[in-house]
Amino acid sequence: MTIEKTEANGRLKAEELTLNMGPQHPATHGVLRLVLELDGETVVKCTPHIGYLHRGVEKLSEHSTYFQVLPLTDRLDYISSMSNNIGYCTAVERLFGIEAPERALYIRTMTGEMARILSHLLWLATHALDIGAMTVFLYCFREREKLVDLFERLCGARLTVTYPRIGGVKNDVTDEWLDSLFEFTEEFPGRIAEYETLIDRNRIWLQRTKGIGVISAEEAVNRGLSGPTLRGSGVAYDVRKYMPYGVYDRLEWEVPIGKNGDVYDRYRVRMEEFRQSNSIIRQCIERIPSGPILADEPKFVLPAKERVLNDMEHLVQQFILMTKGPQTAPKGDVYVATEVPKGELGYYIISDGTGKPYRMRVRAPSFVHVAALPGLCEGNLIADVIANIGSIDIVLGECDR
Amino acid sequence: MKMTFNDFIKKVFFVEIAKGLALTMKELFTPAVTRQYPKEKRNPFPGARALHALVRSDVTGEAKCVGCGLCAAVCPSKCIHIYTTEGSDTMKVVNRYEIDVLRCVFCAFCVEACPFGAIALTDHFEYSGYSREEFHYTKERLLENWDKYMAGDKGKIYFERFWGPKEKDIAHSKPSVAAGGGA
Amino acid sequence: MEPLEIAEKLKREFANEVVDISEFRGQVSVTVKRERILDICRFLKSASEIEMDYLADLCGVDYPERRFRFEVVYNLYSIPHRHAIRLKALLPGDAPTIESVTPIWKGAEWHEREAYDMFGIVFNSHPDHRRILMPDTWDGYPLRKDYPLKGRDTSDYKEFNEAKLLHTHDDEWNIDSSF
Repeated sequence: MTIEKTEANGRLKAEELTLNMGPQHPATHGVLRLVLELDGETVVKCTPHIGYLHRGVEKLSEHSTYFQVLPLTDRLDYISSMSNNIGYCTAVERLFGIEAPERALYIRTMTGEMARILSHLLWLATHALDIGAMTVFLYCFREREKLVDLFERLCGARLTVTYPRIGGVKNDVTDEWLDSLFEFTEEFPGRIAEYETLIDRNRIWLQRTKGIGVISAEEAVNRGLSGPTLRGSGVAYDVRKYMPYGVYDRLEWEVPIGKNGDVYDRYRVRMEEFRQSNSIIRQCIERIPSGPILADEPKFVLPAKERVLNDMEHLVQQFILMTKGPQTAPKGDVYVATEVPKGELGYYIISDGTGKPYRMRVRAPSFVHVAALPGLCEGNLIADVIANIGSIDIVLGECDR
Repeated sequence: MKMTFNDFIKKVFFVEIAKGLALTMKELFTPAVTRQYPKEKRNPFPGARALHALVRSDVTGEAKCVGCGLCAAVCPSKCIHIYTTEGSDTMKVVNRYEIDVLRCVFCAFCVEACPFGAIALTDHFEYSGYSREEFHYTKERLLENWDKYMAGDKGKIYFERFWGPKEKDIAHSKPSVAAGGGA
Repeated sequence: MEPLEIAEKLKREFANEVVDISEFRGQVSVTVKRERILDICRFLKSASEIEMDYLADLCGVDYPERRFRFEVVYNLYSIPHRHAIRLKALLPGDAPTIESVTPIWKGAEWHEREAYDMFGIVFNSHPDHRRILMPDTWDGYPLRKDYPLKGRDTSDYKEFNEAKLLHTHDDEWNIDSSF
């Protein structure tokens, strides 16, 4: 079979090249497969294929008690696992109609913002690395190490923390831990300034990110984007301000927004969020009240260990909660959204009165952002695909669940 | 495009690139933050969740575990297997207590669920092997873990600080009836 | 606007379609029939004072013992007015089809693909109607209540059998691949 190399009028025949940016690729931040059809260097069509990390979290949650679902939620967005846990516990508490005590809310807010800084540090490291600025990668990991060490001192695990509980948090924070966290917040603004020195005004960075991947405000809202990806286009929608949870409505902080909706603006929004998170952590450390960390709800919260072996009632409570789950859960459904570093994470939980959820739906921000990726990439150069993937900040664990 | 003299100087002399290079040059002469593992190791912080251990009772010298099965029921990955029979004096005897460490997600729910404080997660994380069977830990090996990695006061401190909700952690709005009144 | 007011307004506009309005923990759900779902969604998006411009979530739910087995749940939010409402469309079990709302909210595209993949709910005039999380050739709808947790023994996924073929010579060639 001969392949036609010339057209009828003698010119060389040109076709589109189908390029597979396969599931294993260092720039796709996970197992994302992009099938690109290229005309020269311009992307004509981009089709994402996901599902390589699908672990059936929603199906598993129908067969596990509310307590056992907690480690499953850890592994959704594994970079900032604390924020997924906080979202789940907030949703289940709203469903059950219980409230965590003050100190627990302050601790959750503090650790949620630590998780935000962790996630944005990893985002900056990998985004800059993909575009070519390799020094930023190691500088960011130096800060990540300090925060991850703090998590290890708090709850024993560095990455998948499983620290919040339904009704509060697992164990209390000590004063030494708060002092170390305060030291971190003292030196962190200097570090942010370092990262900005390296790339913020750099002409290569500006050429690679300004005017790339522009998305307008209406289109962003129509596609369901959230988080810094939406705020880079100028829409000031932040779940912490619109539907407050934790203690966000009692602290002073601002929502940074961008103007043009390009990769550079999304980068600036996240850099400003570093500073806001730092400020929120400092305010929490200054204002944290003393008190208990678990709610007084014997139907939903484990009893104290001193009582379990001494009272029959508490022993039965422990057994029922651990084996069958909360038996007095009300029937109904709630949708609760929290602001995780990637965007808006929504938990839609339907309860049928038993100890296991009837249906738990996880609305992951990365899922919606990968759906918006073809709109950003088509018509632009192939090198911009890398910048776009970095700027929407996806984690495939969350996207595939 | 109109450019001020300042902008012109910055563009021609690569000023922002020079600032970045000055920062990296400064970092070149500061001590490195990386640790040369495995030559330099850091001890994990107390409470780190790693290899399991069954607690040996100081009084009897045997395992504290009575075989209630709460840890196996609550484990999200179903990695604990307990086989019990009835002993000679109608007390429950734990014949086999096995943990499949490769399935474990190290969530420490088993520690939180156990009413007797009979299982702990030590901070020993440098275990590796050549086959999957050797990660099927039996009761004897788990008790050994306790002697090796939680010797001395470490075990006591672990259960004081990292075991389940304690009395002081839970809000008490109403006086507890079971404790005979009074918070 | 209070969520119950939005529900009342919707009921006045579409009296035949609204089946039920319920409230739980301050969140209002409106159960509707599936026939005029596009008109209902267009009304909710463009009516002044309501303006639900943000589709937060779209998912399917399976109730095997009900007459209408499936439900498609739309969680809507309005960014200018800061209120939310939930729409539930009822679908029968034998022919679960419904109109796609992608002309109204572009973000619904992938959510609807996932509802098709997990439940078998067919969305008419969907621009790209195929499976998203499971492999393209998978047989069966995993999130239905009658689908077992560990999957079916009959090979839904033919490639599992091909993987077993790789191990037929293990003993001969002294390869240890014990699981």
